[in-house]
Amino acid sequence: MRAWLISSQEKSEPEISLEELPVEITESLSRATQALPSPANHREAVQNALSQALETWQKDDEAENSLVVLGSPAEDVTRVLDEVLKANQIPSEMSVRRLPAARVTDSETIATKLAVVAENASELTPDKQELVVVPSLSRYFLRCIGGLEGIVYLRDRIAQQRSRFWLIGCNRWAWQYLDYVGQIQAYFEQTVSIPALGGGEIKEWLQSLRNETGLDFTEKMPEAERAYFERLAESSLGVAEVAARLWLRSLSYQPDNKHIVPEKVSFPNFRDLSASDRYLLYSLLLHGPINLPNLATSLGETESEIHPPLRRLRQVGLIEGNSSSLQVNPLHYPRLRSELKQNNFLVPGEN
Amino acid sequence: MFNVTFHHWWIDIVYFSQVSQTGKRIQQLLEQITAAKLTKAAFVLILASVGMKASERIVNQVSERIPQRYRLRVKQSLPVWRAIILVIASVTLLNLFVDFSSNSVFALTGSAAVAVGFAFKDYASSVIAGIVALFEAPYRVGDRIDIDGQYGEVVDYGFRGIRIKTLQDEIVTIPHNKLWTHTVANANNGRLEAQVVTDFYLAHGVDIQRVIDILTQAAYTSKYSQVSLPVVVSVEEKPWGTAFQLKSYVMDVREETSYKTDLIKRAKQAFYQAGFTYPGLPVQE
Repeated sequence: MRAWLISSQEKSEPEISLEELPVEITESLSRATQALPSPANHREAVQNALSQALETWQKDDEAENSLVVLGSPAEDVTRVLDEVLKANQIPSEMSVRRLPAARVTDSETIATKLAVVAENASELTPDKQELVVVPSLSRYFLRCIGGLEGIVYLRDRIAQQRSRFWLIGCNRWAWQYLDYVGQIQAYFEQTVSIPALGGGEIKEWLQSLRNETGLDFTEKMPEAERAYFERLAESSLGVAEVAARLWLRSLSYQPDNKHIVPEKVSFPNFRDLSASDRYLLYSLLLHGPINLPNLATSLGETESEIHPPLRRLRQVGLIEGNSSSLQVNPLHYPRLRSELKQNNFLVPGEN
Repeated sequence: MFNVTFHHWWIDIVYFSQVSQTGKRIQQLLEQITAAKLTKAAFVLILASVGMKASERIVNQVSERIPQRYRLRVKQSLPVWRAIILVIASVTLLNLFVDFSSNSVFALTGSAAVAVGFAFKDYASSVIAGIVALFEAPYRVGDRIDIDGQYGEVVDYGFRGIRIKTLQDEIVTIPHNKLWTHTVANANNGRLEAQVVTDFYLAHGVDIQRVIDILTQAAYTSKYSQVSLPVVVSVEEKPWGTAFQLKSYVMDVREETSYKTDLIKRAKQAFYQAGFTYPGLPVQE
């Protein structure tokens, strides 16, 4: 009923001749969306939770010395953490140390490598003045025998070193997996979720991009615009990266007056997936951006075995990147999430 | 003497009257069988046969296209569709030829029961067991079962028996009446996940805790594993070595063989890297 109302509202608008967005405009908008800072409410949610957790930890010796920031696999949690830290809202007496965001690749030496990075810092300060940032926990494990050593190392180190505070980013799929295989939530009880965006928040977030690019956008009627962004929020599950891609996809070009018109929000066609495709895509969502050898290890197969499905999925646009960094195209994330859930894969309740 | 003679005379009258009545009934029945009815009956039989085939094809096609979560539910509806078609066809046929007055029913059931009882004893037993199995559900389409030494996935639920696809890709037909005399082991009982038991054998001298860690990790890191279900490793000492049993769940029962292969492959690679040795052959008595 609601969809019908929205579509009838859209239909009631005067008809104009529209074309596909010119390539140069698409590329410019795509670059601009990637350069956008994360939405304000994402930063606020993390900032508030961090300030509160730090304050409690500094006052109480028994308080949790870690905060885990959880986000969708289609979301860049690391970026949110970096932006929060850059905002200079950390107590001035605290020093911040960031562990590398790059994947620790060799499963046999994950723990040793992490030990080198984590311990090379200044001597432990007994007066609680160090904040250690783990940008993405999903990059410190690999789904293979011995591949969880890095997580075990960090888990034990964080429990022992109560004079340091740990800010940890993680995607929800990896968090759920690690909880099943290592009861990680029992060790890191303090978590904060990056909130899902509503229609108004997406509109506000994309507004700055519209101002910065200097392109002319045709304004919709207020009610139609509200409905458009509500639908964008619903389709994207409130995930910023997905919303930005869907928004870009919905844009059309009006050659007469060179205006850009937001049209219908729609997903690209989704081909039928085989069982091997699903295993591969689940692995990518679990680990985040990953290179080919590591992906093969996570699937328990050789690189040559995963080449054909990988090639197919890249051709249809489900996977993007090259062999040194492969990831699921965020545009497909909502439907892929639903597909994997329907096929008995472990998928967390939130986006 | 008089009494005896009277008795024989009375029995003879009853006997001849019954024979003549049965004869009349048979004659009446035969008179009712007309060419038009036979044509209708043939049409009903053809329709039922086509319906059975179509239901099988539709159910199989639909179940393979929809999300796996619903695959087994759709497959399990096949026996019900078949039963509905059979009941409709049987009632239609009986309506064509049989007058359902109480006399006819008694006459028919009496003679039919004896005939069926002797000629199709095992068949009837299988059919009845099949109906019982529909309600008790010891196996359903899509389940992995072990019955009478045959292990595999139930791919078809027929009137007389089931067909299972073994791990060697053989199709084995098993009559339902095995239910009366054999135990049925069901690995997944209508669920998509199934427990898979994988055996490993190592020499006495290995570090048992390390082996348990490797096996647990092998299960938790397999792409086929349903990690939300428990993983258990049990150990047993044998005269020739130490036996380990890994019990874990595969996400989709159809991947059982691939899952087991994956577990063995990765666990043995880890054993090799850890320098574990294998036991010698057990001593033959």
